[in-house]
Amino acid sequence: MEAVYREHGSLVYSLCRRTLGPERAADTTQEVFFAAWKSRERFNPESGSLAGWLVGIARFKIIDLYRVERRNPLAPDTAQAIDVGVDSAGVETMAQRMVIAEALTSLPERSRRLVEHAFFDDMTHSQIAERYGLPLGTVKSDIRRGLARLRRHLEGFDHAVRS
Amino acid sequence: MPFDPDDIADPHMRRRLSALMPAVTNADFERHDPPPDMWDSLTNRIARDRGRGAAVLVAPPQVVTKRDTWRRRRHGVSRPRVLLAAAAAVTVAVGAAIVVQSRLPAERVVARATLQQLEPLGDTRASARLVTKDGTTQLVVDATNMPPAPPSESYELWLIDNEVSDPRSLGEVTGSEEVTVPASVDPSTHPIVDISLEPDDGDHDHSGHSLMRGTLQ
Repeated sequence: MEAVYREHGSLVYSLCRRTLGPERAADTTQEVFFAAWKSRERFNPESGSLAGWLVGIARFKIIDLYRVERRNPLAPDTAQAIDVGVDSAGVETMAQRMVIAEALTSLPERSRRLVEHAFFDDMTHSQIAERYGLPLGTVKSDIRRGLARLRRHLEGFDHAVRS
Repeated sequence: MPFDPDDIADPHMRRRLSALMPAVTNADFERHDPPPDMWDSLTNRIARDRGRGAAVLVAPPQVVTKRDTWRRRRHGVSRPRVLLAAAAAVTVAVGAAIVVQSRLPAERVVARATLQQLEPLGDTRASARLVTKDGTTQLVVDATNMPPAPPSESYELWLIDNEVSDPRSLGEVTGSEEVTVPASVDPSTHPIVDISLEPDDGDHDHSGHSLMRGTLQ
């Protein structure tokens, strides 16, 4: 558990901090890892990445907190959530974007760079191959492996349990 | 970015990545480290949860007849509703069962409740305790043998006032949980712990379908 926390604590905490503000991020992050520990037998590494799974749990915790506050409009903490300016749908997409960012960060440097050129700079595989002097097949396989990593993180996100 | 057809075979995942990737910003890469004491706090909590395995708590059922005014209001029906409430719930340790006490000096138990089934829920047993810890108030629910909620439904935890007219949600639960009581909810005026079954219909009000209840005291 400690290794998991050390590896992914900052990812989960950063999402909580962006959506809930720093005051409540710590409590919610702890809720996420406690929930993950309690449902650890339901995590299947073949179904997706652990990082994606943890962020998926965090997403549920944050949205549940929003729901509670909507039902208890006098909660003083509500102001913090409003200040952050994210609603439940925003949490869903922000969480997935951060999962993708995490997957990109985990890629080998070259693979990451090629995927980023393909997506963020809208370059074709041939243009990337020409720019880096790489065989087209190498560019394709690097990007394919990179995208597989992204997909695996999102699949982990999709398999997160609501607990 | 035009995908190479072989990159991602699943068209749904292709569309999803195509939509998400251009939206990724620098902020999505930024990371902040959690507070340094969080790991210790987490391990304490896990250790405490492991210790709960030895606890066995039951309570004799007590029947209190009451008009559930809030429930009638929700449905616009003036039918009387008899409900079971553990108004004077007593927690009894069975035999030599061990009640595990928290070893954390920062946690103080303020009140306890034993939840009674309002309708058959198998062998489910549940109790709750209100604790103060690190300046916050938390409701700790211990539930055993709680079946999973039916498809498209979920369990939700509430604190309700004595008139049963003002339920305050504490969020979804699946069994044993430890949730923070929002500052806007005063357990002294909302002492009834309620677990309801909520349909996934987007309605944030209490469904009126309470499964278990007990009163903090």
